[in-house]
Amino acid sequence: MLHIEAHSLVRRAGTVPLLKGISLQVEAGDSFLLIGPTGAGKTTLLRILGLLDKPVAGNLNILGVDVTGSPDRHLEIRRRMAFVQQKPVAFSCSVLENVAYPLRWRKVSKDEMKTRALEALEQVGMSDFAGRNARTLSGGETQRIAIARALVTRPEILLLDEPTANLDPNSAGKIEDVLARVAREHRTTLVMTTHDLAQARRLAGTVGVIMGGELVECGPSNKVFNPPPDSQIARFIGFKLAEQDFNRMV
Amino acid sequence: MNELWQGIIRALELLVRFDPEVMAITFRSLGISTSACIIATLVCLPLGSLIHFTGFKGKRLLVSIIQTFYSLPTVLVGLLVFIMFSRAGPLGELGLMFTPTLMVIGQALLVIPLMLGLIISALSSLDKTVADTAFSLGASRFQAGILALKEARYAVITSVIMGFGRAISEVGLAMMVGGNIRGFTRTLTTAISLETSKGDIELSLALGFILLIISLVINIALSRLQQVRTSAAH
Repeated sequence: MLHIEAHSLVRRAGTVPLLKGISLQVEAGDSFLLIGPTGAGKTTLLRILGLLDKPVAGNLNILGVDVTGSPDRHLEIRRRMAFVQQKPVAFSCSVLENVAYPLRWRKVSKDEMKTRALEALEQVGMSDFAGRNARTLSGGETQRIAIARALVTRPEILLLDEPTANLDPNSAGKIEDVLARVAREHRTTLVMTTHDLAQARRLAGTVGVIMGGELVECGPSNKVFNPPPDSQIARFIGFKLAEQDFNRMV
Repeated sequence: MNELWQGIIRALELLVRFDPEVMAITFRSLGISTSACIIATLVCLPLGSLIHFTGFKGKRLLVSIIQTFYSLPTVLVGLLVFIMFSRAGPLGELGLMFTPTLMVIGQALLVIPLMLGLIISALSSLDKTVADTAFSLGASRFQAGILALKEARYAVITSVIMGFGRAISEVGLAMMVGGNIRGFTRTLTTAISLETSKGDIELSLALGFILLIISLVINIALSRLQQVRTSAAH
């Protein structure tokens, strides 16, 4: 079953093209990692998939609903997804209240809200911070709160924009473990952007490579990385071969 | 100079004795301006959020027009309200001319552009990620608007206080649509204006002191808010 089906998505900033007709499919329960250099269009694509921005052209089907044709169903679909942004923001209240916010919007009972928020904090190793003012946390801690705030909704699709970019290696490892566990145990579909290719190798079921607003490669992780299908992708992922050797090999 | 000192002493006496007329005028002023401010707040909070969160053609122009109305002359608003509610006006049948109700309406109309513009500015200065995060975690537009207002609460409260300051200190509109009727529509500013012209400097000074105290309280409240805001940010 497909959770995301995008066809020829186009997005522009004025006359500058950001996405040039991207098509992709994400299976339910897959961990889809988007890699690509800075400015390639990863965040732009993720924001469209998260229904935060609209494409100027193309079709998008999420969880079986054609969201390009049904803007009135955006809220319903958004409530089945969660999005962790690259620079997460903590709301000015306690850590526990921050994590409970999405449940409050879904009118979950107070007792259940507290139980689930504490569970989510436990998942990211932040349960000791429940009573702290969220605005006093470090960047890494805020990122973990943002992930807990997304996990608390038990989303069918979890979108993450470089979620470990602000974290030290130890915290990043913990987050990776959490994401891998969530994907495995809850069959949550992960769509994540990253610059960390080692992380992409560890987490990805499917890898999409975006360059210059185009999805230049998309396939199972082992196929994309070993060996890369062309020299441009090879250069980006640091494939250690002389170009002529590479061309001979592929 | 001697006359001025005597005036100040008598004014203080009126205040210390809680002179019934002075107190009545003060409470009437506070009541009218507070009511106008509550109405303006009820209009501006949702309208400000709606304008901020909705993308439409001419939005920048609309915000510029609202900001131009910050310094709208009070007598001009008074004149418009007068035309609308005078006996021959389109709303004359309501019989609201020279009543505190019309003064509340007039002051609310005067305050709305200022409060609206400041609320839109408060929301605009908020990190865009706040609204994006709310939407991406399943908030409706209304819920995201409430969150944004909460996050910008210090700036929003500041705009409400500024609005109150404008309402309580205006004189032209209150005079034109209230008529300065003793015991009914006389407020601090209209009374000062009248008593001064009658030569009752003591009463004018007493009322002036009260107005000054109210302004002082507003200023203290604003700077306290600023302090809370700064300490909350760190």
